[in-house]
Amino acid sequence: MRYAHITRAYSIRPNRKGESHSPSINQKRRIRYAPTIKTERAYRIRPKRKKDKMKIDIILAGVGGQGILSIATIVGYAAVKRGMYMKQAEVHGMSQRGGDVQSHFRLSDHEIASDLIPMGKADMIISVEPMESLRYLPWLNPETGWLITNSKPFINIPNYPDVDKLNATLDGLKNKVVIDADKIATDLGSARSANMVILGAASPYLQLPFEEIEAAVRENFARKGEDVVNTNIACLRAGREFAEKLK
Amino acid sequence: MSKTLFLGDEALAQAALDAGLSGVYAYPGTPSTEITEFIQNSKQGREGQVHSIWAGNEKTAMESAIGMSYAGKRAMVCMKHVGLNVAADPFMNSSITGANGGLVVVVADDPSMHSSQDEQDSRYYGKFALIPFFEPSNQQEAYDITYHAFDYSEKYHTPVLIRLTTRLSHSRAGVERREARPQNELHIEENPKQFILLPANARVHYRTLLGKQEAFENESLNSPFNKYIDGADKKMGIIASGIAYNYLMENFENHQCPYPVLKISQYPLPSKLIAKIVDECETVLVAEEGYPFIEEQVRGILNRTGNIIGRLSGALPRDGELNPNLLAKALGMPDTYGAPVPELVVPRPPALCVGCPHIDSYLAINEAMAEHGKGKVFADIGCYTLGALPPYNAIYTTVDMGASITMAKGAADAGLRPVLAVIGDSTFTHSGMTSLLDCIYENTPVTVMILDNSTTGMTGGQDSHALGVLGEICKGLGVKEEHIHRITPLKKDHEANVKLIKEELAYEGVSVIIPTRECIQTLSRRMKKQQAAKKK
Repeated sequence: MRYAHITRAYSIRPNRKGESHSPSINQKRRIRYAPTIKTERAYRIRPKRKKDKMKIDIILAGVGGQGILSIATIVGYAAVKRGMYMKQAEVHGMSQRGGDVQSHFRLSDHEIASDLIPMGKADMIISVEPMESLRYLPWLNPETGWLITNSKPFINIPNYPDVDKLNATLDGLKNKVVIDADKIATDLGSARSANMVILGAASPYLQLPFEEIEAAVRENFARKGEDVVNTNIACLRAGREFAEKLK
Repeated sequence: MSKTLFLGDEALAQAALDAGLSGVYAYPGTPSTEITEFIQNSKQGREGQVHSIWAGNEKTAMESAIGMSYAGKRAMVCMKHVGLNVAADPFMNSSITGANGGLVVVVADDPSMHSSQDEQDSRYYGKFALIPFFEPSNQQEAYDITYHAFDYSEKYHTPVLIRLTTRLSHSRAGVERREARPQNELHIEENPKQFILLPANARVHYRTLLGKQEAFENESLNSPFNKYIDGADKKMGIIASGIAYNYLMENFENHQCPYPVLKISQYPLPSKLIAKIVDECETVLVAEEGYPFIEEQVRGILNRTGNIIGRLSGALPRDGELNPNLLAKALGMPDTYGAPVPELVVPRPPALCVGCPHIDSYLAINEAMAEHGKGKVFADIGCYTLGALPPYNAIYTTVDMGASITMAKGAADAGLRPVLAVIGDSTFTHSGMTSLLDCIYENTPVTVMILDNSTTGMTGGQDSHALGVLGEICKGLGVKEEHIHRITPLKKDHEANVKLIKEELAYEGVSVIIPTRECIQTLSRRMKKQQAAKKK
């Protein structure tokens, strides 16, 4: 029951397997009423003006309990402070129990219509788990999208893929930052702050000033004391430094 | 006023508080749980002494809300879609009694079944009960509609239904609030016959309800939540309801659609606006989350004109959630798609947590049942439903809240031996007690295991009504004391637990075994809190 949406996502692709959504004769007869010509024109009048319209569409990915939502909280805080619009679709309920979780996180300086990011249009995948980062490739813009992921696998299933093959697949991607966030965070004294290393690694591609992200991290951890704030800032900076070197 | 970031559920809850709510009644269920939790945690709710304690099930919740409305105060009842099946009796009859204080029923549907056993569309219940209903398209509308719904309910003395869907319930966005209104004073319904549904009274009330239908439709026609947005290109028109409207607009730059769009968020359907778009446009696409509720009404079962397309015509999939890509495809626009998912990516299904007490219960059940063959364990709705998955593969049925015990009874009646029912503590108090009573009445040979983790685990750890008194409840219902056992689901007790289950399976009568150990999630939260308190 949990995978219904993912199966459906596949089926959007025309003719992936051929059978799944092939319409019946009756359906075919009805489909001819669907107009196509006019709508294509409507689509063409839509120019791509990336520069004068700022939007960041992010798929956050991980396994239930890894804390992907704190990344959204921090980036959301920074963006809302700038007066941007935000929408964030979360997953609650059954799928939280050690299953794959994802959040559609959208920021824009214009009003946002859909709570879900259209497939092929996400600017980034930010993942705290390498296999999970690949699950959402259909959403990532194939030309301009960036994939930022932790390289440390979270193995709670018997048939987890071969880690070398997994790394090879990640290596084959065009725009990616693969970072051992767990190791960096542990070296800096807080294994639990791996998600801040990931956020740091994603920060060069976020179109938000780094100081503002730092300020949001401070704000988020302020009530936990100065030590926690400093560790998380160190993790954030280490992640950013790593990503900058790859550029 | 500045905006606050709210989940759809939270926006609705805040609106109810601001509209002068006196009580919310609910049983937890994804994706509706956060509404009641928000009110429970709200300072405004506490200060206003707004009732927000969980109800035993959706039916008791609905009835309590009707009672509060009878007493003149504003009441809200919240549930997931399948919860309305449980509450259907009082819900349907509340449309006949009508409301005194504002009465708002909130139902969160779960298309694509993220956390549910079906994707039924609650709009049919709204139409069935002949009451007005709403379907917000975004978080701000969830707020505005809820705020308005209480006034509407009092204006027409009718319960009002609000339908949410998963993506709105669990998506966060900025919401602007309005001024908070005080709660109603206590004022009992003045008409002494209004809430007595004797046939003679009910016939009168039903005619009154039928008489209100025209006014309801007029409200929909003039509603700010229903919008006719004209477009130059009449080749196509689009009727988009609820969140489908957002998926539609996502496909157009600056959200300017070249075709006429009829946005629907308030029902009954405004037939004049439907007529306008159908008359003006060559083809009309109906985009709605859930069942083809509007599409079927607009085209009729004969589909004579053939120019109404949507989920029934195949322009959109018949099942599952919509999304922007599906709308693009239905509009004939180029679809977008990233790279395919690499083949090495495997599913990562949800699983019982490490240290979960249900794991030990299932290991004991599997061992005790091994000699009896497959197909004899009937389970229920909750975390323990995950016992259906590997490595346990321990259960064979999950249908609805409470069905484990009564299905086991039916199978036992058919001659199946031995049968075992597995149900959680909260599910047992929700709907299992009457099932057990059926078994006791006939002394049916069933062994019932009530997995007591002292919480409603799957929805995030809400209080369980039977905390500490499960044994007493079973005894009071009539289970013989020597056949009620509390055991501890731990590895060290495994052998003893298996032995006990085997003994009770051999007994030709009703026995209840209660494996008791706290949910690992609530336990770790409690420990963290205790540690934090110590530090201070």
